[in-house]
Amino acid sequence: MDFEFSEEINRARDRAREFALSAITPEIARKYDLEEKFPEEVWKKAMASKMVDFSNPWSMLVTIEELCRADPGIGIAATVSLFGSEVLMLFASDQLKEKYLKPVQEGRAIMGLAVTEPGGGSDVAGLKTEAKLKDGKYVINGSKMFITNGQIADFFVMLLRTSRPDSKRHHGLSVLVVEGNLKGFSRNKLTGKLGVRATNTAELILNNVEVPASNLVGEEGKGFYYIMTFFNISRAYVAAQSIGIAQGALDHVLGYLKNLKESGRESEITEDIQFTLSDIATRIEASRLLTYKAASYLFNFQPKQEITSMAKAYASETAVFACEKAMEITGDTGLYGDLERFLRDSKIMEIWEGTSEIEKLVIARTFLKGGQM
Amino acid sequence: MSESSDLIRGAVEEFCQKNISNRALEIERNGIDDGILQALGTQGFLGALFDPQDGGSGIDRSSFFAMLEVFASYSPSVAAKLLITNSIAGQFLLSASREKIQDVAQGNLKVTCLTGSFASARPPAQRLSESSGRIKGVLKNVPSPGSDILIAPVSEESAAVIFSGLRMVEERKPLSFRGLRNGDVSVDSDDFHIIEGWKKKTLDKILSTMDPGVSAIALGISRGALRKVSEYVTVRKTFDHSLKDYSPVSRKISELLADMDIMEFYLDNMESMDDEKALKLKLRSTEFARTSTKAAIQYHGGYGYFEDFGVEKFYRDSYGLSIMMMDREYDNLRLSEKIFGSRSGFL
Repeated sequence: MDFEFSEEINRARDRAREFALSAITPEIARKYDLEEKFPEEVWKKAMASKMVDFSNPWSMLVTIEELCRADPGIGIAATVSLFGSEVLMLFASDQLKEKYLKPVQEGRAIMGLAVTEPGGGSDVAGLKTEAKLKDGKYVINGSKMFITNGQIADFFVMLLRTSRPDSKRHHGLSVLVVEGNLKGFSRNKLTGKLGVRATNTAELILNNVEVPASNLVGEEGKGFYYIMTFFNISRAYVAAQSIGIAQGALDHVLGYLKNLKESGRESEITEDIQFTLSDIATRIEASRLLTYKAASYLFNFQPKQEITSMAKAYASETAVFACEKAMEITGDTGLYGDLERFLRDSKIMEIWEGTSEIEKLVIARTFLKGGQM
Repeated sequence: MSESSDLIRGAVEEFCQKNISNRALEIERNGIDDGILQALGTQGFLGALFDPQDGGSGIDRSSFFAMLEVFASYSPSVAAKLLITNSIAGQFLLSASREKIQDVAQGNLKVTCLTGSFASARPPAQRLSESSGRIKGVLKNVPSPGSDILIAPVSEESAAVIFSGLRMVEERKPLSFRGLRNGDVSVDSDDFHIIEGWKKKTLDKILSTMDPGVSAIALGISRGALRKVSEYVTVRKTFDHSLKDYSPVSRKISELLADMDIMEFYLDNMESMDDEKALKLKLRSTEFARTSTKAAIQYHGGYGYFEDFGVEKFYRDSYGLSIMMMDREYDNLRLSEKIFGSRSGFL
């Protein structure tokens, strides 16, 4: 068992770290957090640097870690313009890939994934937005909620109900590519988020929106499977975001303790504080091992859903834990410094792309069905 | 619970329903406005602990803590304002200017202080300098930076009550208690009153109000968050069932409410408890506030992450409470010393 990454992945990590240190300064992070605005400049720079490339998943994983370590909001915003691209990569026709995937991969367009609905959340199969096939076009009516890139995306990979469910609720769902400028399509930016305020979030309203039937991804009625396959991938990336946040919080703690030492206040670094520091570092290392194990299965096309869920749940809880403990240790310095932003940003990790509760159910049900470690 | 604190709870609930509930989000965004401040003054909340001859209400401490808890369950910022005014500010103004106390109690004059410097009794991290009859300096991260009166340390043992020459130089959006606002204040004044040896004179009085006061706010924050989440999990359905029907959700919320009631019982009986018990409750209740508010956000899902749902502010404030209004490290040392009878837990 080799715990070392290849040189190529290490180079990707170094390049991302270097980029983060120059392009994601604390001043920039504060500005976009305060203004609750998408950092277009940073995103363009990140795309131009070619570091955002989801066709190279291992490099992407460590890149996400390093960017979120510098600032979670900006780190996510800089890498999320291809959110949902794996659905197209894996299931879309060559024509759809050429038309929609290429521009986002080249940094000329932004895409979004639209699954969640008002009052929906974890219950994906319960979605109500309908797409009815009529005269060679799908006519869509309904709404989507909490959509990342909602206001700025050029198009969305959208999960919709195309036929009534039979005995199984997840039947009858399909994925369509829906452009954002179509007649009857409106979007409302959602503001007042606790954290990740540099990311754009919106509610989408679809009122008789017409989409060509050729925009169907894969086969009609298989949308639920496509999206669940995607979640299995995206959860590994959320785990990477979480590791980055936790590592960033640890960086803040170490900087604070270094200052204490240099200002002759070493006696304040009690064993109690050292134990807490040790807990944070251990949990980060455990999260990394779990996430890399999940990614290893995933990127070799042998996904183990329960391992991915363990990684996502554990890493996201570690992000929150690290930020909470870092705040306790640093006190005023953390409260009025950049660490408080990490605390606010971290909480969403336990919620999006499958709440911790959903992840725990996935894990438990795998074993209840006879799965073994 | 005493009859008077029961009455106060009812009165404050009514006041909050009428004046705070529908403006809680506005308070978070824009601060506590003059209208609310004057309403708090007119009803006797701003000067709740002040003597009636100083324009206060002179209520007992148990009633004061009950009052803080109810306010915090609607707006922790308003509760923090009341605690600062009645404890630190009140104690210093008593020595500096009794006439101004009346205006503070009525909400006509705003007073603020660096809470951490006075609530922890540690050597102040920030202080002003005084020479030739003038007091000068810049203080960072002052709550309510637009106040008329500022109380700040000038040395380890002396503090100044400054009545003019205050200017806010930078405003920030802090993690917690956004209703108080936060910013840096430049001071250049010859209108001030120095209190020498403040620690000996006022520290015990300040801490005896601050410790249970912080607990009251912590429990109010928890109460507010748990009230919201209990309502939400009852009406919110997922996979064709109410969220409350799922065992991890109902068990967690029920356990939190049970812990809440136990700590509330302690708070209601604070008058008969010693400083050690007050300190224990403070340490437990502030930790509890963080746990309960985190659960409240989690069970709201994505909605909890947005300010409109009124839950995320409780989460943010629970952290500020553990830092702005107390010093957890210092309080742990205080508790260790009380338990072991000598200095301990410092290595």
